[in-house]
Amino acid sequence: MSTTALLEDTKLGPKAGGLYRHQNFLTGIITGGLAMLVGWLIAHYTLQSNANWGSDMVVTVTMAAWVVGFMAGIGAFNAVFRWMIGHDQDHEDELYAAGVSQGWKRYFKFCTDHKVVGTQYLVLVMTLFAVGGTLAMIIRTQLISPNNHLISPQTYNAVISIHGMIMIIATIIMVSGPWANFILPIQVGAKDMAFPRLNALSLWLVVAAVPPILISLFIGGVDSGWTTYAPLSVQSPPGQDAFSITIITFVVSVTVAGINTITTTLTMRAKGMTMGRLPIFVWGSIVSAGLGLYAMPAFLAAQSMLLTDRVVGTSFFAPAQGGAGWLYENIFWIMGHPEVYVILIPGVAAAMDVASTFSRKPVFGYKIGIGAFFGLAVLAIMVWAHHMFTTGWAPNLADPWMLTTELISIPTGIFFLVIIGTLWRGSIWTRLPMYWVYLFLWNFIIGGVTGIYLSDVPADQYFHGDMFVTAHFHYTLLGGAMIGATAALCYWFPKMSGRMLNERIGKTAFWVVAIFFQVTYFGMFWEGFQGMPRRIAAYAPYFHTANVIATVGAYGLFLGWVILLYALIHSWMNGKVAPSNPWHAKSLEWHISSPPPLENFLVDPIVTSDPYTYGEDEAATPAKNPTPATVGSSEEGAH
Amino acid sequence: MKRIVWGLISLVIAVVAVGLVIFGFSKQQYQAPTGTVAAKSVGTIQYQGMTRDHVVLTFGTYPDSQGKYGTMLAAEGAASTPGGNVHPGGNPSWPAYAPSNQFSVPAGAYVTVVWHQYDSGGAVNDPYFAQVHGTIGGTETVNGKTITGVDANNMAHTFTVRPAPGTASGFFLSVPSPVSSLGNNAANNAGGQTVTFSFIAGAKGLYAWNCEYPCGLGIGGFGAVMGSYGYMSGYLHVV
Amino acid sequence: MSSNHEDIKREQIAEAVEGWTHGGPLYRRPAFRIMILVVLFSAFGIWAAAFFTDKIMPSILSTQMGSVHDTVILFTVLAAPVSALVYAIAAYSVYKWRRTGGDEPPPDGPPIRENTLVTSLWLGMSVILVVVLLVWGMTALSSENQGQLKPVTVDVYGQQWLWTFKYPGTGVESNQLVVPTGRQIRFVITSYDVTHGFWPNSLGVQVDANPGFNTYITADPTKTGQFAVRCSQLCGLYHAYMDANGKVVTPAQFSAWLISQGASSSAANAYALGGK
Repeated sequence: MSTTALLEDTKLGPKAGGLYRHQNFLTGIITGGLAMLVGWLIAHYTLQSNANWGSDMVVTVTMAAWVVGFMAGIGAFNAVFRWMIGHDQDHEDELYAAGVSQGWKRYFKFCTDHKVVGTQYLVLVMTLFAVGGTLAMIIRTQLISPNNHLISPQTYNAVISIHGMIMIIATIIMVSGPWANFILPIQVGAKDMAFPRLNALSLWLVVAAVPPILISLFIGGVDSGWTTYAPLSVQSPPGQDAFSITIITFVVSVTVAGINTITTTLTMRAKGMTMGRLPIFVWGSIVSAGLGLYAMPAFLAAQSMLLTDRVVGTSFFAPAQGGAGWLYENIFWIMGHPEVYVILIPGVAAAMDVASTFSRKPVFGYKIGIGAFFGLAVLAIMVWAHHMFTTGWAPNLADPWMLTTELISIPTGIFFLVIIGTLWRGSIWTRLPMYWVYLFLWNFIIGGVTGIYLSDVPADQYFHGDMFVTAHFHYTLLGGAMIGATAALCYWFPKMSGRMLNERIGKTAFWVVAIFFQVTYFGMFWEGFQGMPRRIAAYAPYFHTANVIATVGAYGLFLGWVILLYALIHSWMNGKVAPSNPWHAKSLEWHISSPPPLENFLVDPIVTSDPYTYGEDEAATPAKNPTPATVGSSEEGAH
Repeated sequence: MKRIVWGLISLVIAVVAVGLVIFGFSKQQYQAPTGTVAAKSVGTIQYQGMTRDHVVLTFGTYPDSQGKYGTMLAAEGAASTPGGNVHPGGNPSWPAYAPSNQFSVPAGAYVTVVWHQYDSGGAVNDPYFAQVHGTIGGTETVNGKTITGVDANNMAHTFTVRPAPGTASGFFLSVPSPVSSLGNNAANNAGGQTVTFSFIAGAKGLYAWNCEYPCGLGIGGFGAVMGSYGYMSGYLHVV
Repeated sequence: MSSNHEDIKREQIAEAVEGWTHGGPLYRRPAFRIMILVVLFSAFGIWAAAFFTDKIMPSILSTQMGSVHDTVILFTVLAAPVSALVYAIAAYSVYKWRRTGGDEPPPDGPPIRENTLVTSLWLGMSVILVVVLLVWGMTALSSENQGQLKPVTVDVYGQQWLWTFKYPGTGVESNQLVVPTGRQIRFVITSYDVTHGFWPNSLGVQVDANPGFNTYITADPTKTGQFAVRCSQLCGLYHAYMDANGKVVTPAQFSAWLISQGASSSAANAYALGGK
């Protein structure tokens, strides 16, 4: 490595990058703020016709102006603009945009390097979790006594809605953001993502999408939950307009990121990296991205229609003018159910890879596992109406929806088979990432089994809309997907930061999270069996015991995550320096330094087998390269 | 050791940060300057063979929440300052209750409510709320005339009280009011109707009250003011 | 791959599979130990379901609520062994094969990439379970739809943030839901404003109240008792307070209650007792 000059150290001309040189997060905020002000002035003085309801128009214009202003201010449109005026970027400009010779400052810029984007995503996801977790603490504190007067019912509704949506946004990007950007291109042997600029765009669009949804808390809030069911959401305070702008922006981001992930995997693989040799995490990521491409636009449609209902008086969802709430519910769940698997699949796939590395065995049933991803994706688009079993919509279709929903348990069952098959007779190396895989198994089984009750229409007529559902989906999304993502975080942290994660603190965090998680959601299952509806700010006194259990558990759970966050920050700042392959794993990212250099590979890798050759006779594996550095890949010409 | 100290410091910072956010949100709750308005004791009364405390609760409904309420509330002891703000910082085109949205009455007391109503109105969604429910005798008195309900197509606000969820021993109360005699030209201190009714405050607890007349905008008339806590909604504390 | 390599692989796999059922006394074999764990985990799961339905859930006041209880029990009995198997294998693996910590990884495990038999068994088991679940659900659903000829109709109105109930033909409107035993109750549900969720919880049925049109649900009360009618669909500011009291009473009590609410005795009797 010393013989080759690193790309990072390239000396660039004083003008490389053009306008980019002067743009960063701060200029984005300033431009966004100015745009907001201009938008507000224009809307306030020209569009506001009705003192009560015109505020919707003002909020919409202001928030949209923020998003456009912020993106322009950070430099998202520079390259397109230069291309339009015929003054395209040259090579030096591109290197500048990739963060060359900017040190830490590149993390605050519209940077096209996939590793910078991945790191930015990680910080963003953690910030979102911190915000969402804080809101969760508000909810649990309000529910600590039956008739708590801590916050007003309006604020409570706003808090639960924003908690839900922030967490959904965070979980959608928690694996596909940091890891599908940082790790996936290296795993397939690419130098960067297929569309580096779109990559940066997808990140900063999420950043731009966050302030409106937080502002919505202070302009009346959203009072209809993260689902924002119409017609209630048509009636909601102006916070709903900001919420819609957030969703529209976020959907654009997810779509752009999805296209990028899929294209990278399909077209940028290294020599010898056949589709059958991809780590299973890559498969999980592209199936999830593809499912997202199908699902998320429906959310954009639903929120756009809602926004026009509120702002310009259309009546898609206004019953008195011929609209229907059921229309909203259908469009919403056409997004809403696949979205659950968009969140879940990459987390599961990452857990499979971690299980393989730490049991020193190949992934058991690699092909059938991939088949299960696809099966789940296909089924996911055919089950949306099970969220509407109790709405009264199409009762004759209850049987078919029940069938497709219960079929879900087959691919989900395969996930368990793959993981326990991988653990079976392995040499279980008890390092921190593996701890999380076990917790994932424990939680996800409970989440999966409780889903079966809900898939049964007669039982759902009791459980629908009560805390049982809340506990169920927290077990799948937080206990399953997010714990899987935590396993991925602990697994790839050394690669990303170049430091080893402190396992002592990490394991403390693990036990606190693992135990209090069970306490919290045991309380919620209890509430659910008792018949406590979701999203209520006050409840009957006989729910009190269960709520106290859930609240105490939630406080402990929050502390657990804080400890993990402390472990991450502590280790990032002064952890032990990580070797290039601390886990002795075999996929490509472990063959390059930690953290990887710009453009990842000093020489193009040639791949000779999949990354699961544990226990197989290495010499017997046919290698195209005469002296492979390690089985699974090699760096041609490195010698 | 040093690591543990730093860890504890981080935990404390996190807990304090979350506590501050919770505190901030709790302060976001609308609080009338008058605070909780307690009913005024006027002695005792015999009701169905029992001697009960007799208290009088006075409030009003006004079409302009940014305006001022008249001297009436102060004269009757509901508010300390005459002519205070109906709903400080409120939207001028939204109606509101004054002097507060929080009322308190003693448990088991005989409560007489004096309600000054200055707002206009229209048709209610559900005619059920044009009828009087839960008062003594099932009636209310409007300007001295005893009635059991008002015109469902031309009525103003209702004062509808329900117990906290799951408290079966609580009471339910829903009383409608007629529109201001000035109709749509309603002003904060003219054309008022005085509604009086009495009820027995049941078991202790926090009761939520709201107005069931759709005086907001949007779907069902329950948007805007109706969905904004504090104007047409609040709590009745039975203590 | 060379034949030598194949041989090694086959040997390792054979040993791995054999260890499952053979070798040493019975109590030392993984299969036996895992089965014990499975039985323990399953027993715990089934006990939990029985405890929750019996002690925590509201009492059964209708056949529909009875079927909710039965479903929870049956599904747990079916699902507990499967989940228990996963738990048992996971627990056993970490008990038996773990290599604690260290910077160097333990020696590699046997390269078992797939096992057609295990996979097929697993798939077959999932399919059978799904079929059982589905048949159960469909049976319960179709029995729910068998209506009697002359049900008692109750009109339910949801609005922000109260329920009101009308008993057609009697002129009674109340904020209490009172229904008689022994008759099928047909709820006709609508809303004045936004979507609400009509959930009389001990009756084990639930359907949304939508503005502008009706939805329907039937329940067959079997036992007298009190229950809560809740709103299960977030409906705005006082959603939490949208509770109503419900009561299942005998037909005679029902008729008397209607009369106390202002119905004429002939209308009340005709409505409550199913006369002409």
